[in-house]
Amino acid sequence: MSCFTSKYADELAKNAAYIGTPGKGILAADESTGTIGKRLSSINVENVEENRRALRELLFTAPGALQYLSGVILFEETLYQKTAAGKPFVDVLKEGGVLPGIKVDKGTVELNGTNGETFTQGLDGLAQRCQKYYEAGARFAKWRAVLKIGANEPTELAIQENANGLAMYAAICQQCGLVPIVEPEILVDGSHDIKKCADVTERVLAACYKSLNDHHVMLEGTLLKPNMVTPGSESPKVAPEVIAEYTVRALQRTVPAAVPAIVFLSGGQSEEEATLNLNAMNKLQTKKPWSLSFSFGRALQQSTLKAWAGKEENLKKAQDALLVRCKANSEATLGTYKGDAKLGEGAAESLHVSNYKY
Amino acid sequence: MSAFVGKYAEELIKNAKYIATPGKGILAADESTGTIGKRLSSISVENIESNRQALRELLFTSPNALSYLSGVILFEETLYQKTSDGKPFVEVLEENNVIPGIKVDKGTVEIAGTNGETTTQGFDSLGTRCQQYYKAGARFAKWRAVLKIGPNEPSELSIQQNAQGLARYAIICQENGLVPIVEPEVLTDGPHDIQKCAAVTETVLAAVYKALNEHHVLLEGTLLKPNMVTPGSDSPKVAAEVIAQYTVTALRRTVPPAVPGIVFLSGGQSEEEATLNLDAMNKLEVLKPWTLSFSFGRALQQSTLKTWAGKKENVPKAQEAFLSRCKANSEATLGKYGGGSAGGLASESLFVKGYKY
Repeated sequence: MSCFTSKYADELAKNAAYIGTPGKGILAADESTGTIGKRLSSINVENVEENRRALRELLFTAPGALQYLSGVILFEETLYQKTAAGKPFVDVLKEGGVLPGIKVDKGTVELNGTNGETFTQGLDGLAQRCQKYYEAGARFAKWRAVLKIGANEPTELAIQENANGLAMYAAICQQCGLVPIVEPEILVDGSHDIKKCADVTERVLAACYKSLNDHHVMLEGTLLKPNMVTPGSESPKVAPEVIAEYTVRALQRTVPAAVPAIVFLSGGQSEEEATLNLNAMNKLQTKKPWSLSFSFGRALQQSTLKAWAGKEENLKKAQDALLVRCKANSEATLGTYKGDAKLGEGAAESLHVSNYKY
Repeated sequence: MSAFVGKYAEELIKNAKYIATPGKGILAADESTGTIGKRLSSISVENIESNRQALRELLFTSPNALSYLSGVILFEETLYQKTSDGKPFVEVLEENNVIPGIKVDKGTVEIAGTNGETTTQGFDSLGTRCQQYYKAGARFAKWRAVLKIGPNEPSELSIQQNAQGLARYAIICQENGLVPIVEPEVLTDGPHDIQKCAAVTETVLAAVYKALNEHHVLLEGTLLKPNMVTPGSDSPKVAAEVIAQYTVTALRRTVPPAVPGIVFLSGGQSEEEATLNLDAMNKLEVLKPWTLSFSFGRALQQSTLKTWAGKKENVPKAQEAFLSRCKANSEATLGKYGGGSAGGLASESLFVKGYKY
């Protein structure tokens, strides 16, 4: 094969396929300490370890929620945390049939000579870190590459650097038993139309899959986490069916069938928007050899956060809100969402933040 | 889009999809004058225009054979030829719902500094030629790029040159209304095993699809004509199911779902081998977002040629042989081939070292 042979090959393919189980998706709960701080401060909660732990316990022990999830992405700190009763989060997830994942990148830095384009750090000692995470129970990883659309962006340099970085990260993960989620996020910021986003998305994805091939990555043991194809944040919105058509077509033109599942990021979309768009894609009658699911952070947690507001007495309300979004998105992966989820406060609220950094 | 959507876009998509109809495939009858000469001499027939015309008439008027074909690739001379009754071949094909195609490359030349690797010629006035062919009734084209496996081959240079060449040819075709068949043939010559062939095929196909993306080619309006993944010609053979497994895996790893159909070349395989391998692929229980069919030259014509032997009185029997291969391959595209249409001739290997059309 042009791809590697690793002792983990079968396990990687099995885990990647499991994550793509129809009806399930991923909760992205891997906000770095800095980023989760912003979330907590938006509900007037102090950014201390106990509060970060309490929030994640709220999420992972929400009754009935885990059945709609195949994976949860964690930040390193969370991988080693426990419930208040002393049970490791990793065990809570595993018992719920959910694979623990781990964010392994170390954020973005600007590319010299470009107009604010970036590449992603984190390759140093990555293999050792991955081995450690595997021992701690992680079975998949995530690495976020970021590109932007502008008059001259993304440049060939940015595309190549990010595609190459993703491919190197992916190859190392596979050597260590972690399924790499490949995430080339094209930011929604800008005044461009949906056709421009489609153009850029196709170009970026083509470069990614060429790089993955160059680096001998086994596609059957990977997942893709792309942006949906939408108009820019400053452009008029379009219907979910239009987003679905452009998105699925872009994927048909670039993502080989060997990839078992595509798990969308939500970008700045509101909880409800993200669900409706995902649903429209799964209703589309066209060739889709990979399952289409979710890997949502903000779009799964927003109304939960607001309902919690850091108060223990709000626990049940908050967990109910999470269950509502998990169930809605589960239905969206099957194309059966009727748009009737009880909207929590803020579920229809845009979560777009200009030039978002985790 | 990153894809070029010109005035022919809808037609290209429609034609590519039609050629990929399950149960149908392509007859590659585009042998150049030199190459068809070798075929004719193997049955002691003189290489003159009337004999070339007679052979193609035999094929295109075979009763019921055309129902198993969605396309026929022609050489330029043949595009303008007629039956002995004076009916243009193009009309014969069109009346039977077979799309005429045209070979547009002008053969290979060696890349200096490599170990016998080649690039394909044919860009001069390609756009104009495509327009002319479109006017004459052609609706798809074919361009053969060739790569070889060796200790240092295929080189990055050869892969890049051939991938870029295919992409440039493809976009020019689409600008002029012809569905481009993209053919990156990795030759079977060599002692390598099937894993090596798989690795090279995956690398080459990845490069080809990257180039097609760069050149804004509309994938929905193309077809792929790859080699099957097999051991080298000097290596022990393997079962059809093994070939099917490696081939389909390679394609699933590289060919985007937007491509409607994959039409395999037969390389040096015998008629029966090629059919059995195609059948095994279609029987494989794995998700295949494109149809898997045939674009066979030798593997459809070999026993027909031998049966004809250039004699008018042999035409009906030769046409039966041709029908038999067409039907067998049609069944293979549906995974329903039962075997047993192999006459002795159908099992004869057609491998020729370093094959040039």
